[in-house]
Amino acid sequence: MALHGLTLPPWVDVWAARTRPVAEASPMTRPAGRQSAHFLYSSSPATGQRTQSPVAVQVAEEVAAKVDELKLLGTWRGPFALRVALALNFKGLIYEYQEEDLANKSDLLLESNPVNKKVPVLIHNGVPICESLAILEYIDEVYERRGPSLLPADPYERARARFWAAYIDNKLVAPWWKMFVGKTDKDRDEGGKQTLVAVETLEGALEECSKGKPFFAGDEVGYLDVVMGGMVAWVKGTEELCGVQLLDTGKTPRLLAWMEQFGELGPAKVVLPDTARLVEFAKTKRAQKALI
Amino acid sequence: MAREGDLKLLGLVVSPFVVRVRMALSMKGVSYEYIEQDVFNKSELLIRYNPVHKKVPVLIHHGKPICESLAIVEYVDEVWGGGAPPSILPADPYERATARFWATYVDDKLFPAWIGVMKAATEEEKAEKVSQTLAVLLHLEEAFAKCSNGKAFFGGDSVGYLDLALGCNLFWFETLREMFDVELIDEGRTPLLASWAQRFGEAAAVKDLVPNVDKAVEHAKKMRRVFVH
Repeated sequence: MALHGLTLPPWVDVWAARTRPVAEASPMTRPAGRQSAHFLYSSSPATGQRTQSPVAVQVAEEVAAKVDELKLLGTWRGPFALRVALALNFKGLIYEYQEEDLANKSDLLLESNPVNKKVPVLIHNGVPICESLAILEYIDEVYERRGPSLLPADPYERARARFWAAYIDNKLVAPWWKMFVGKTDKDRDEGGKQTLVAVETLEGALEECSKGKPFFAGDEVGYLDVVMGGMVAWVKGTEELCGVQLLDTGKTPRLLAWMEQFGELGPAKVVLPDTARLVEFAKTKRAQKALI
Repeated sequence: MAREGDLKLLGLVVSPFVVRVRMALSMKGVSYEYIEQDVFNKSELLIRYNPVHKKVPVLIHHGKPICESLAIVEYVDEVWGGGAPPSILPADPYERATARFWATYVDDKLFPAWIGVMKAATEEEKAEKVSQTLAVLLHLEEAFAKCSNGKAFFGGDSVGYLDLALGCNLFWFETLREMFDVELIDEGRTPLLASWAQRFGEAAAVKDLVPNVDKAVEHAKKMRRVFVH
């Protein structure tokens, strides 16, 4: 049998065990655990009894050395970190998650992203990758054969997906923030207007990209669904936080349907923050005029 | 190889984003019809093919538009990939991610800073923007050291994605020097970038695509008349 690219002799049985239970419930880790270790046993052909043989131990060590380690530094609510967590979950990848306190950033974060000092950072076998969209493409390329592809195969469709991802970042997320924490009424108003324009435009984008199917990528979730996914809870909380109704059945029926269907999917459920919790948190931070 | 009829580029001679795309097309040896746009008086063609932003560059391939310069460069690399033309993006996923990180950094941090120098209304504002630009360039100096690995370009032995992403801005640094006597890339502060800039300017693929500084100065003056109050 093969394990992590190593071919093991036929007499070696593999038993995967979760070695560390989850310490605290976090929406970002997979429910079952944080890391897995593989114990290798040899079975006696005569009795079927399993013993941990020295050769098996050696092989186990080799396997452990080749285990792919993914670690995500993020926050439970940040739209950019959420999109990476969504991507990892949709691809069925195991990773360790570290929640960052943005007011007190970890040494690991500061070392891993010295230029921007921001989350998300994906650390793959000790090597950091920064910038959420670059991380998504990295995941898609490295784990090409694991789970669904995030980006489509066709170059034109890929270019279109990249176009809309840039649009989401520059025309939806940035103005949304201005609407929420802009210093003056004028700033917040302007942010609100720009965000409303963006959601209407994205309604059109969804129609164009999905071609009548449930997701931006079609029948299955893809790059744009994951990119937009990070904003779902924020969009849902907008009315309460900013007094602005972003989506409605008249102007943005497709986006509403998309949010519902996306939110129902297993990997999304694991990652997406609870809207009420998010709203509460955001209100508190705004009142404190603190960093979100 | 695309025939001229299949491929069109809507552009502006002095736009670094357009120059970036032209450099990519040149690297691939692809021919296309170039259609200069007046950004102060946008054409129907531009509005039709980029209704969302109404900006250049727009690449039109078999009648379908591709917008956003970095997305266009990746598209060009993918469509005219494999075989003889050189690859623009590196092959290794980690190197690709690094190149994409820094290209995003150039567009998000460097561009607004130097445009700020060009559009500054007061001396104070200009000084602040110059300062910001220099700080960003220091990071890019470090990036060059890491990415080039002792070779001539960010992309290694030959021009690559990040070289294009940053390199297309160089003629504007010369323009700003001409207009305001500010030295943004200099041998003292950023020696690696200074020598890279020289090599980039001489690279075959990009050589004839850089517009005359006079044209950029003219455009800058027009921008200032429109935007600076």
